[in-house]
Amino acid sequence: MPAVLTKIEVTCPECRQAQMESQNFISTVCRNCGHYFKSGRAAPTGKRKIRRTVIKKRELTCAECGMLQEVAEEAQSSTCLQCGRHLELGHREILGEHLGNLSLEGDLKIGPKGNFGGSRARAARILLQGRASGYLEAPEWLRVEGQARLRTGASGGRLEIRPGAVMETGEPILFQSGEIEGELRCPMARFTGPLRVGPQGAVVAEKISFTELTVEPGGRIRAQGETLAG
Amino acid sequence: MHFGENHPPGDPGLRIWGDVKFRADAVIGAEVKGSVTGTDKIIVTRGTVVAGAVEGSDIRVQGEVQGGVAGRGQVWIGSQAKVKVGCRAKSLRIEPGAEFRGELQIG
Repeated sequence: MPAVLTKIEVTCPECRQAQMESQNFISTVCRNCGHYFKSGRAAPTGKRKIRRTVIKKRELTCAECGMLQEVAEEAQSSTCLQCGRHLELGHREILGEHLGNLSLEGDLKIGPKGNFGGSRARAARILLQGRASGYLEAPEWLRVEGQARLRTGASGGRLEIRPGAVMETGEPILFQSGEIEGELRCPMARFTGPLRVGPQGAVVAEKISFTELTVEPGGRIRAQGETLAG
Repeated sequence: MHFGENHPPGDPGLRIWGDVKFRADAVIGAEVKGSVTGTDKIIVTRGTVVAGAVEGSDIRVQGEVQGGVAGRGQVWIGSQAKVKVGCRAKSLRIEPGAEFRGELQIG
């Protein structure tokens, strides 16, 4: 059962023109004479009510300017209200070779036989089962289930490297948290939150920083370590 | 073995100039101008400052260790602890709020 908005018919106190307004309206402008009036001055005529379905919305952040905005849940694309950037809201799956750059607000899946060869991919959530060589940006999470050798780096919310998976980067990585069950090799890794290295996990880096670290028995770390102020 | 007592930070109470060796579990509450070595578990309590390294099986640090920590088992670095130089252990836990800077050789 979808949520509904109830509308009522109100009359302008200036020109007596009737118009439809939301049942909870506070003030409005007459569409006939332009007179501004508050709800207390306009008595509803009680003629009829229209029930309209509410459009469900969701929040998204523009990848370009970072502005938070609302879009319809079903929308496949939108335009940023601030910078005008085209926002692709759907999901994408790479099953073969992909050489161009990508920027999605949805999910990006790079399948087991997929290869992302572009220089940059951005998606809210990235599942990497195949190969990738460009920069990966995943504001929510990046889950590595394959072999990723990135020429550049990666950044985002949570970094998950599953058992047997390998992520090797040529430049620093920056994430909010990390769950390392596979292998991570990078020049520098910065986790602004907790980092956990599981029993099969391994981290080899020149430098690694974190606010909290757990290395379970069986897990390995070889790096210069430093805690960040919480 | 309980070596020294808990004192507020800045007042270590007992001061030791030299290295200390234990053949049993040890709890250290003192300022040590040297290293601490033990065959078993070692607990470095809050307010304790060890200028050298701490070596043992399982090590729990709540104070300050300036010369690094080397554990044959588990090392736990508490939320108000400070550890410099490095840490070697089979497994490691560094609590949020702890200060660590040095080489990590875990596993």
